[in-house]
Amino acid sequence: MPRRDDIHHILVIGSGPIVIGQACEFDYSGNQAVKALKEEGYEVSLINPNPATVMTTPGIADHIFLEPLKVEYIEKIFQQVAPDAILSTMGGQSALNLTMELQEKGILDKYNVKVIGASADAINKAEDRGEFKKIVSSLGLESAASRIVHTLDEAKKVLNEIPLPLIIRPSFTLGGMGGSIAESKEDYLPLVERALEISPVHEVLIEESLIGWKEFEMEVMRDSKDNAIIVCSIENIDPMGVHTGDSITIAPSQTLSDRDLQRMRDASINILRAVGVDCGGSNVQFALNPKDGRMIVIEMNPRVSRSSALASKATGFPIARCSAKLAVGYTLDEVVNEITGQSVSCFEPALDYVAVKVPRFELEKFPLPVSALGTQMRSVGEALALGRTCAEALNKALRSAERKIEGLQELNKDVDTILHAAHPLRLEAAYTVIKQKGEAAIPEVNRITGFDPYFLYVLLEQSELDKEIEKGLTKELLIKAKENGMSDKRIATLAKLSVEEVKKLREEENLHISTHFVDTCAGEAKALTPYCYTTYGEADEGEPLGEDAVIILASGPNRIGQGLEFDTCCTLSSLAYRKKGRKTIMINSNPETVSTDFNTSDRLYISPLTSEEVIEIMRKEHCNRVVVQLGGQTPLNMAAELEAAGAQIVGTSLESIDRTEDRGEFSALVKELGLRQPENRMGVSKEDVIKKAEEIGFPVLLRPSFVLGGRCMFIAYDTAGLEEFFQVSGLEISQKSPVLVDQFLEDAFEYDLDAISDGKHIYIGGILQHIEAAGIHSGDSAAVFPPYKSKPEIIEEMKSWTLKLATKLNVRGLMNIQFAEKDGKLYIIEVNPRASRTVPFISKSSSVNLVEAAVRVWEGEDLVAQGLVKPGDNIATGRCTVGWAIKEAVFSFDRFVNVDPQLGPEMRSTGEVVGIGTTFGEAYAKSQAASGNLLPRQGRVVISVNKKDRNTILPIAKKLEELGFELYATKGTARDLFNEGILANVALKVNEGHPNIVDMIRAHKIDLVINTPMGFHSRKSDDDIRTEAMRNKIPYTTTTSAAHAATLAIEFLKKKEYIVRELRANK
Amino acid sequence: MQKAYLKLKDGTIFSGILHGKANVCGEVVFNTSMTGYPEILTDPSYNGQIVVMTYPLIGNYGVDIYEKESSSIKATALIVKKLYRGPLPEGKTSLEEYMSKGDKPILEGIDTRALTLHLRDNGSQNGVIYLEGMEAEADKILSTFPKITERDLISEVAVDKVTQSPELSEGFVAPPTNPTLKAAVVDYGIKYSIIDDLYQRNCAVTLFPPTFKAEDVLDKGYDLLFLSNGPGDPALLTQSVEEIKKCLKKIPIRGICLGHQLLTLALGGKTVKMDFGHHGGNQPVKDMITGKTFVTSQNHGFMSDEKTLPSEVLVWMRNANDNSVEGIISKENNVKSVQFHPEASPGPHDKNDIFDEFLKEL
Repeated sequence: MPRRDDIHHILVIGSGPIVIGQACEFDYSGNQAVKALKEEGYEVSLINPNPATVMTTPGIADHIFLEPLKVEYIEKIFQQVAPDAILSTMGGQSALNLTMELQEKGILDKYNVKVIGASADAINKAEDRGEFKKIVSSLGLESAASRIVHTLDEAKKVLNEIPLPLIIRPSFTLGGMGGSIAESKEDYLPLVERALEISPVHEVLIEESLIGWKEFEMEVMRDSKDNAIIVCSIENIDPMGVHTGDSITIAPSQTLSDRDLQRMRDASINILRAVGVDCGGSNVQFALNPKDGRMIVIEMNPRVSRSSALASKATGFPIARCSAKLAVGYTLDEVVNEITGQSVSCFEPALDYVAVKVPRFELEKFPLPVSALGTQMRSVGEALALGRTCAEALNKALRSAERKIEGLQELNKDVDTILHAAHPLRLEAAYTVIKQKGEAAIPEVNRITGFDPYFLYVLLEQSELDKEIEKGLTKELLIKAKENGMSDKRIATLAKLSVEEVKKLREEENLHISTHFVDTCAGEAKALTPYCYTTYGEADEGEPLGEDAVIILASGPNRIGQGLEFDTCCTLSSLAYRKKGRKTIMINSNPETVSTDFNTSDRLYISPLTSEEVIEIMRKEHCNRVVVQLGGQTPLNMAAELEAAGAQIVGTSLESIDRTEDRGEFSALVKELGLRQPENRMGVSKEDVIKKAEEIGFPVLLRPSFVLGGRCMFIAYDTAGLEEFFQVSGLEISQKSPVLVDQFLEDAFEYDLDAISDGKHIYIGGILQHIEAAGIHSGDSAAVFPPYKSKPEIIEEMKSWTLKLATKLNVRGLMNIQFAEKDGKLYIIEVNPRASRTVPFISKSSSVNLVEAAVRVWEGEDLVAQGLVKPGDNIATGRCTVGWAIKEAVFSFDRFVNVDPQLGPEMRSTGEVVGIGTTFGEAYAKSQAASGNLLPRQGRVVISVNKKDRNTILPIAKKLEELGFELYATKGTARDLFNEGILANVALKVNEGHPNIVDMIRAHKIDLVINTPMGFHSRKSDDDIRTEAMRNKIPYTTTTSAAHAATLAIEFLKKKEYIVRELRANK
Repeated sequence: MQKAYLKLKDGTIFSGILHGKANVCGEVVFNTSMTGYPEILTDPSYNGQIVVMTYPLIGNYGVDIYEKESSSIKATALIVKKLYRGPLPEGKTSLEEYMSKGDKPILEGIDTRALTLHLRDNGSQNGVIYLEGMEAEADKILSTFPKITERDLISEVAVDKVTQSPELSEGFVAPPTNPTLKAAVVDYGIKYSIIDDLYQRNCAVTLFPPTFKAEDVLDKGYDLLFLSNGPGDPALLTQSVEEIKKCLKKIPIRGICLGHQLLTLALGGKTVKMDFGHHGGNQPVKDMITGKTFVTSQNHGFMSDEKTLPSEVLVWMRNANDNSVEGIISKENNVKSVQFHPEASPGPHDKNDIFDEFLKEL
């Protein structure tokens, strides 16, 4: 069918900030969708408040709105640019929910906007559990048996209807709280009783347990002519009971016979048909009882998803792109498969490799109890690896996840505990047991873990090979090991050799990677734009791109502190290079990204980001030009090894990078240039750290060298605090890994500056001022562009320091500097001669694509030639072209019921949003709305501030009173307010009895909390207040500057003005 | 397990490990299905062929007694990247044991991707599997081994006498006791699943050998003549084609795969050998009448040559990738046939309703 002519202008809804469960896969899919729609000649608008995304880069859509994903703002967009259709399926659950809300509120009808992608009706049918169960049973398929009970008597009856074990879920509790599993009759009733008590509506769902069953997922596409295909089947190695996002998965399914697979295929297509998904992709999840083959339909998502991004990268089938084409009327047989360039999309990819996905957890930041994995997703990212065998793909994927494991390897401790628990290292525990006990252990490990014997046999084969290598490495074993995806490092460990020795052996045997293409058709047809993975021992495909190409190292799996922002930098650099006529080779392991889209680069390698692999790819491609400064810490960590192997590092030299990374050398540099940094010393042992801290004077900030996102950083107020930290963090301190002890600038203002240098000139893209005071990691702090509260001389000082540093370090490309200002004095906190997290944000709000500018510098075009610096000048500064732009951090704390949502020097946010406005109040209001922080327009505010803040809080309190808020304050604060003529009700502190602040928050009697830290000793009660506020989603500010910002925003909100602003194109 | 090689007619050699007998020869073809190796191995259309699975991991779920398309393994040999040897669910046989019982070899450890690309670029051709050090003998075998277009592969897999209501193996339906339709089926190497699909529609089946005569099936109370799938070159079956011609206009005729090619010939068209054919479970086919596209299972190295088809013959189905003819209708002759396998097994069930279509307008 031809494209729809009844629509002309389509609004694509993005997914907003990165949170756990909704990450950059939606930047990838949205980006593909926008491009696909533009290709068809539609006018395309995009709304997404996430400035880190590729999709919001000017030029990608016709109209870009970095506005909150709220009905009011969408309505404004409808008025302003008048789209006649809205694509709902590209922005995850957020976009679906928003579409439903627009539908229910009649906004779509009012503006005559059609929903394309998935209809409101289909969304309803898929999302409503009851409706969906009805559909499933009407198709002769099964859902998990379940009953809703309100009394113990009802619960007793269930025992006769559904066999044990039973899952007990109280309704309407936060984060699945109070859920349990009853294994026996004796446990059952007490557990139900407790659940009934916990549930605010005294309602409990009792469900058949599918834990331990095999789990599968089918990625389905269906069009308006009822053509349907399965893009990919995915099997979860972790059985039912662990969220798919947290499971190690493999594609295609490994243990299903054709009969079982076709049964699932038929069921999936029938479900899509019944739900009414008729122009796009969906996924359907199944559980299969390994004992009797019983198949249960778990759920379906009528939209593109994390797994569809994974399936796209695993197969080469661009699901989002194709979904967008179907949404505007095309059918599958009309959409060309761009990988082969000659076949159509109405086919099912045939794989001749396996694709393994391994999740990436942040166990250090969000410590998990042993049996932590369950029905809620906890991982923050994922890595994909392709290989010709399970072992190869699995070893590579485990390595790609950068979890400090070199593939399948033994655990040193807690093996039995982890084996019995849903734990991120469970597969390694299984490997450990099987290596010890051999094949005989397979049935037992299968019984305990639910891992299919098929996968356990893969572990057995690996362990047998490992044992052979332990006896002594031979040429044959080395070949086998490389074919199994083992790293030189892992082989060296097993063979008790050095990595260099293994590498040398490999060179002697001429054992190098061979490249295979992902061509969607298992070699049946020649591919036009394939991408690559590497293997050993097979014929190589593809001619080298040669020495004129450039290798861009991306950032690997998302993690806190290294995520979407860096992927955007890598993607934009590839586009900029290609514009300059240079061919690009992208290396990445993160399947969620735009950088791993098949047409972002000239050649894409889905590969672990390790020096071994990168050196091999350099060798194969005859290319040694490598960009390491755009992908965060991952590329930088291997830069030295790459250089030693002959890589020519693009831009700033490694030596300069090292000088800024090594805190000792950096201090010397600062001294040499006559700049200032917080007083600091180096500690080489625990005792030494304590000694140095006492010399500097508390509070002090501890930070180890070479970490990103502030891992293991800590503020200590006294010696006891230091000792407690040593114990809790388990940090190893030695001559080799020293710790820097910094003077901590309490209550200082922090700044982030991003600049480009060509060695002679610098262009400062922008300076951000943080709203939170120093001590909160820059990634977790709200930041304002331009600085909102600073003296011109401080800004000038920052610029001149930047020029000095850039010149001295001979920076070529991007650099980021963090400054702090206390009592009118400027300090340098750190310098990073590489792309920072704020580069995409500043690029968009200053209308200068900083990454492109850096690429042009690398290509020999200096900043004057680019027009960024005036001839004769050596410095220029960008300005905020959108008025005010405020970046707010977004957290995923609601995923971790037991984690204290405390902010500190260690970064914990998962994503960010921007608020743009002509006034500070507007911008801040929008940043809060976009981050899900619901600032109240009226109600009660509780104020509790420390002595230092008593003066600054007064005008704020006065303003809030004027705005009609009812004031509450803790005793001391209330007294100070009273002295200034402001009346506030007294609220009790946590330790002063009940009802105290926490009780009031819990009872929803408070709408805004202003609580500045009272110092180390009241930390516990501050923590309680913050935790409770976060849990109840009540806005909470920890600084008077944030409180002031909130007040301005509230003042703006009271006007009930919703203004949307289109992002301007780049210069 | 011994070191062994596959040598192709054009001299290209691939090395691997052999399980089972050596010195076997056959046309080397690849199949891109990721599941369904038991069905493929027992499919009579693979008689005389060495099957290369492009999916590298084979044997993962063993073999079930239900998973067969004929009474025995028909492929000459199986070539895989990696064979699974681990534990299996109760009741399943390992692929290695299954092949060994059928006296058919597995050549493992082959770079199947390189082999597939070679066959893609150079066409399917004969190959020989031999043990290390036995190349000279193997060369002799290979040089004298007939081309696929010269081999009678059908008589080995077809019935040699008329067979009423053949019983299929466990897992398939029994012959209908009270059939509403009766089909005369010419067996060129029919798959169990095709018979099963007819049985399921309450259609009785009488199998005839490929040497059937028109008079055996005309005016004997049959509602239709059905021409089955089977191995090899349709152009060799000149006698069969003559008999089919005699049946035109006298009885509705239906055909699948080889049967479709024979109908092409009987209607006056020609068939041609394809470079490497369609072998897999992911081929898109478009119904030119309804405009719908669906995913099919296919296994053929010959096809109808569209330009030789008489004008009266309608191209019913086309391959959505290469536009080749996938189905024809001749209204004049009440003929309908498809090139792909609506019975799937292995592969998607999307077009199982072709059997309903076949049993219409009789």
